Amino acid sequence: MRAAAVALACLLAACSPRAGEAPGPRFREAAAETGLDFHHFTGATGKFYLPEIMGSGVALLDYDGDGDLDVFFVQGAPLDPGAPLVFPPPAGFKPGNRLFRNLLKETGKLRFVDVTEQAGLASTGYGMGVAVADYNNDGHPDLYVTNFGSNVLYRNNGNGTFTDVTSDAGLAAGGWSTSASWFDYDQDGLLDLYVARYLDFTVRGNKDCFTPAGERDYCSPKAYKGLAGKLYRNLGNGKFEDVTQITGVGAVSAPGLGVRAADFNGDGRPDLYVANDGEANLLWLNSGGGTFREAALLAGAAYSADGVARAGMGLAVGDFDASGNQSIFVTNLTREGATLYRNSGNAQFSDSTMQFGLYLPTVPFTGFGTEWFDYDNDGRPDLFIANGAVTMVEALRGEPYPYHQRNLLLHNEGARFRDVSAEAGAPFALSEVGRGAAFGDIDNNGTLDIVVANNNGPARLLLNETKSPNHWLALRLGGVKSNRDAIGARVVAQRTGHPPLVAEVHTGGSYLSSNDPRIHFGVGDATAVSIRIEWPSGIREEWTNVRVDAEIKLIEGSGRRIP
Amino acid sequence: MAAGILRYNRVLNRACFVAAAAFLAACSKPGSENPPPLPKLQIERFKPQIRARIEEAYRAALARPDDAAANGGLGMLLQAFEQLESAEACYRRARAFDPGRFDWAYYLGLVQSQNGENAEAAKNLAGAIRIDPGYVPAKIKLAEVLLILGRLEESRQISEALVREDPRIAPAYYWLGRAAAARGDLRQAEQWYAQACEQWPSYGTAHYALALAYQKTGQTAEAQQHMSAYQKYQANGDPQPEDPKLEAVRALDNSAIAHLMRAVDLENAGQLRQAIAEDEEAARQDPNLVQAQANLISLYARAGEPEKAEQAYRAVLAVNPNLPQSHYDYGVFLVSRARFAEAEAAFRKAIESSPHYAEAHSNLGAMLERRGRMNEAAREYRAAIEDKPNFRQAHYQLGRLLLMDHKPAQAIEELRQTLEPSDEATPQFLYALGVACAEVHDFASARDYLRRGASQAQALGQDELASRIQGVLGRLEQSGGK
Repeated sequence: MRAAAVALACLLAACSPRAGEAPGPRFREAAAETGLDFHHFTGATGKFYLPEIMGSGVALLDYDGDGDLDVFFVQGAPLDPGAPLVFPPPAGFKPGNRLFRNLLKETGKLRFVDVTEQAGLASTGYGMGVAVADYNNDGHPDLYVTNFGSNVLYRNNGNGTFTDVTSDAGLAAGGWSTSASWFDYDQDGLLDLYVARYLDFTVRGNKDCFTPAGERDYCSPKAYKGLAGKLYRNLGNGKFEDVTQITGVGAVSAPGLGVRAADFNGDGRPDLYVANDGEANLLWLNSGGGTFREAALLAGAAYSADGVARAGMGLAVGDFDASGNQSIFVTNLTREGATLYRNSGNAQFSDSTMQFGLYLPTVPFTGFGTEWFDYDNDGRPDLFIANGAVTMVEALRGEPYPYHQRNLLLHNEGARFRDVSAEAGAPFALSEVGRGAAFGDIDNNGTLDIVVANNNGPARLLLNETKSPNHWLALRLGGVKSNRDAIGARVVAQRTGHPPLVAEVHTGGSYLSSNDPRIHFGVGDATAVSIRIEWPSGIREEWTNVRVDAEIKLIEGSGRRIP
Repeated sequence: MAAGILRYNRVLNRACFVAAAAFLAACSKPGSENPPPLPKLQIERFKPQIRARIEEAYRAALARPDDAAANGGLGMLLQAFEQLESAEACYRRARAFDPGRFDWAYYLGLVQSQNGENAEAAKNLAGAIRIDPGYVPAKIKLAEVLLILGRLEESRQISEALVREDPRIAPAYYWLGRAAAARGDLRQAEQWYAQACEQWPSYGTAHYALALAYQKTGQTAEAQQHMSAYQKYQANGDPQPEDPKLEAVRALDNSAIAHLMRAVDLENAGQLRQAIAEDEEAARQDPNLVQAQANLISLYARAGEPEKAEQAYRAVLAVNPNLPQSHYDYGVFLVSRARFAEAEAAFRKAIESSPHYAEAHSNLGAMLERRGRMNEAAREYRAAIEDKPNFRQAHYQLGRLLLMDHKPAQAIEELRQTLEPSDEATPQFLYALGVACAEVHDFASARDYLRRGASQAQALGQDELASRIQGVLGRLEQSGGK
């Protein structure tokens, strides 16, 4: 009897990992059951217009300030109005971008309702991406939607509605915009905006492209010319100034898809990294004084180790190795593999993809949305990648939409990453055409969830149901002298017996998408941590003995000043 | 064999092969697994000519399902048209039926590597080398695949054996460097990369790796030097070991698209006549492959064949009247024939199809300027700059226009954007900037720009320009601008 009890105890122990250990991942797809009913429409008419295959983004934001994350999806549109559609939208389809309000706080149940029309967000453009931030420091997150065509800035009125202020703000950009990133490059407390732009493709100038066997397919970006990204300075009066030329970031015209601002060289100033499709990625180091210098080549962050430009799509920036440095992970094309640029400090990067075991799991897929996110709260940021091809997958030839692939979940085990997709639940068995992906704690349960925007298909909500004994801490920062969202603030969580966890407040990154602005730390077995924040204003503060497993708000100026 | 291809002695000293033998011996024996079924091909949408060839090979494989040559032949055809998963199945069958044949093991390893199945690729490449220990490309590929797999020591052994056998094999040094770098031994990596560059001075990839290694070890001047070499050669200058087996596969693709792709490579290599021949063949095979005709417009124009350039343009219009590049290239051609009004129309058509076509805006600006429509020209230059902020020629044109319009301060803003990078156009830009500075009585800057312009013009052999700049400098001195 005793032996049996011991055996049972061992079995139970084996099933329940202790704090600090890695529990098995478990995600559940819950879009339909929660009312997150969004189906992406490409407008495809058989002419293989390039925007049709590039997908769209998704944003997680608390637009109504009720304490839970709402979801905003960007939608496509017909590019060739009147032409017969290859994939007509499903019954009940509502055109245009969609805002879904999360009813969690008021009902206690995760449930979404479509509030697009009430919110004044109905649109008819061909949508690509979305970037969220409180650009006017009024306490309400605003939306910037990028398009194939003119972009739109929606100011949040604070009463559940938005107003299109693009014209006043001067942020239409034009051309084909993709990802955008809010950041305060001149550190004046006002959020500025970088808009990546892709190619000079036009519907009228569409080119016919073919597979090597002569089948019609989508063109490579090399069929068109890349466009320079745009940088806009926030003047603080609702208007923005186009500073692309005078800051220097217009010096390179390249097909930009992913962008993220972060302090890569530790000088306290936010830099920019742009993932380009088929051309050298760009690292714009902020020189101060309102200018940037491009430094990717000698920094080792332009190409993969073999000196070849990859098809950069989405990107994730974070301190995955507890070095305190912001490393970059870029998703690429099938047969290229993703690229991990490990930052050894001072913006010196090494292509460490193979060393960390990230080449072999990623090489069969074309990756898009991605982020470092600690799904099991063990203190080591893991990776999710939304995958989907851009040219026909050989094995899927004959299918109506032969571009689908499955997504990837890669567990950070310190020295290497392990592909845990097969054990992470049914969502990872789905094969779809993944594009945008946004990350955040949607059900406010202390684990990070994912929303995936699929191309020509339904959006997916991947609820993280990983049974983890590990602890966590969510931080909502409030800037006072700094921008109100504290975007760019460097946050350090110190735990006894472990290296510090470092993160920068951001919403951008991934692909065409915008993440939960809260900093989420998985802290393993720690039950209390110290928090140090370097605010964009330069103020440094500390909070000690912060209890975990909670969301706390830290306001600039409320902590203990440190040198 | 094309110029620039390394020729390696395939007859190797067997004794030198011992170092890697332990790994190779450990590899699985071929033919021990059941071959997969022939792949089910979905080729209805292939070009008819390609489809017919594949169908013929497929029928042969169906008729002789146990015949290695029939299966392997189909695999080669599928590989040529980048149907790599189907090709892999065919090669696996061929290898199972004829395990002693080098070709099937080698091809199988290659396509498995491309498909990301590197562990399997390593086994089959090693199997191929066991059959033909003298086939250098297989060993170079195996060194690469082992490195990808993190089997650094085995990769090192293969590469070391290669350089012992023939010290001229530059890629082997490169892979030795990569293995050393992966172990964290940057100093050793630097030495191997340097040897790769020494053996093959235009080895762009090795220069890149060496530059980054130097940068990380704080040797910034050396890093810059090798990064410049990389930028000069990129990966185009990499040594390609003679690989008749792979060439045999590539040669199977003589489709219109293959000719078009070869034309692009040849044009990039400056071989205009050969590029024209390839594009002509592509257009002959497939008159609807409009890109071939479109490329021919500028190729013929550059080769001094105006009638053919006209014909190519008309051929493009017949298939697709909206291709911006064809209108632009035709416009450039018309400018070279001094047919400015028609050129203006062509640039406008390019912009109609592609409103962000910076080069078309700039050239349209130049056409308008010729007709004295300065305001419209300035608007086009500004549109070009808006679309391409680093477009030096547009900045120059606009700056010059502003200078003529007695707006020297604004002109200086534009002309300052022209100075990076430094190249053969720079003296002209410095000249204009110097004149603009003189106009605002900033004589010190004017003298500086003009002197730099004169000196650079002289160094570049632009004697007439140097003389003109010297003339302006002289007048500046005489007028008392100090």
